[in-house]
Amino acid sequence: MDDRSDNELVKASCQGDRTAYAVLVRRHYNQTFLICLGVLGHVHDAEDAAQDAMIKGFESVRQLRTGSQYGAWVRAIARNLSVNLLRKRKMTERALGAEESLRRRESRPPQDDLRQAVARLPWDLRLPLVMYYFDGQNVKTVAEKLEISTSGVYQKLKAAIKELHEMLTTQGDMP
Amino acid sequence: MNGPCPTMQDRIAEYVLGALDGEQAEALRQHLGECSGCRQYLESLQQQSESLVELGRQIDGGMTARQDRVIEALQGVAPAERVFPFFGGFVKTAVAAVLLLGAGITIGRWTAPRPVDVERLRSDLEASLAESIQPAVQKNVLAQVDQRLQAEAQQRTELARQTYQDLYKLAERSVAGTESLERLMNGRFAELVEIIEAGRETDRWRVEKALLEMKTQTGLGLRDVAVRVSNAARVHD
Repeated sequence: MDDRSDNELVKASCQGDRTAYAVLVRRHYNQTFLICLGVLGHVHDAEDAAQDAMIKGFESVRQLRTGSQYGAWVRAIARNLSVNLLRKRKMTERALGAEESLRRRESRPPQDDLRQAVARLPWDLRLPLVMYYFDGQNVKTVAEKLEISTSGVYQKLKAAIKELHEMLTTQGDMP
Repeated sequence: MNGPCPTMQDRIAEYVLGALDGEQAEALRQHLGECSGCRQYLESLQQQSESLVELGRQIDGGMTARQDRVIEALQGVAPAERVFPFFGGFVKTAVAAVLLLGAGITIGRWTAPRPVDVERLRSDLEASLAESIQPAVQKNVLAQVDQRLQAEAQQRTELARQTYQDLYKLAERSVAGTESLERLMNGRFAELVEIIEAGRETDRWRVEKALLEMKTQTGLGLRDVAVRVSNAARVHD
């Protein structure tokens, strides 16, 4: 385990030190990935977006003014990349048409119901849900990271779990 | 199963999230003891929450492998440039600006045929300006003079007609014979017309002469006139 601070690791990364940046990746990847998963809803898409964000972070780490802000900075990159990817995906889905989309939903295995239901939530509900349930963050931390009030987080979580329940019970399968 | 009470769904979701205070939670528990539909809804949401946590654990299981893939992908990426994080952009921009400026000056000196003679350029421009503006202004002034003379000529024609009638009446009283009277009147009237035309030509000649004198004596004055006419026309438009 590397004891160096984020600030020190960022300075070393600015000199092209890949080993130092690898420590930053180990330290901040999980939350970056969960942000991507919260926005995109699919694990493979989230993996791609998180990797892109981390690499973009390495390429532009010299733009970071305060090394201790690396975690928030790379998560912001990840979130922007994911939102852009989501927009493109929605455009593609619209181009494919609702019929194809329905066919895909009907052909999925039943054990993926919860995962698929999470993926079908609106991303502004999914993101706090993923942070709260998948990452185990408390409501206050989620609120700080999303820069909304705690009551706002409760509202979104409440709406998310009710909507998930609605989707799953309408299909006749409970998780 | 009976569905949950519509008014209690929000409260049950808040209970699952731990958002209710003690009093609210106790009130809900009392209701749950009496309502099987709400009880089943609560159990369903709690089971769903557990499934979500489990799903999170499954996804979290692959994190190390994902991190390894990112670190492996980093090997093919060019490292960040060796600059100070804070001043990097500024220094780079400043250096680039100085280099570009220096290169521009050097190339300019090499390629320029000779230094620019500002006084000569100014005099050339003035001459060119005067040549292009003066004829137009002169033509414009003369056209205005023509218009004014035309208007005056109409007034003079009317005056001449009246004069002709007056003369005719006078001659009618003093001279006998229609034919001689006619001849006399035509002669007098022709003289009158000549006088008017001569006056008109003289007026026009005087204006032309004045313009010529102004041009030869004070070329600057004419240019001022041109500029004023041009400005006035622009304001008018």
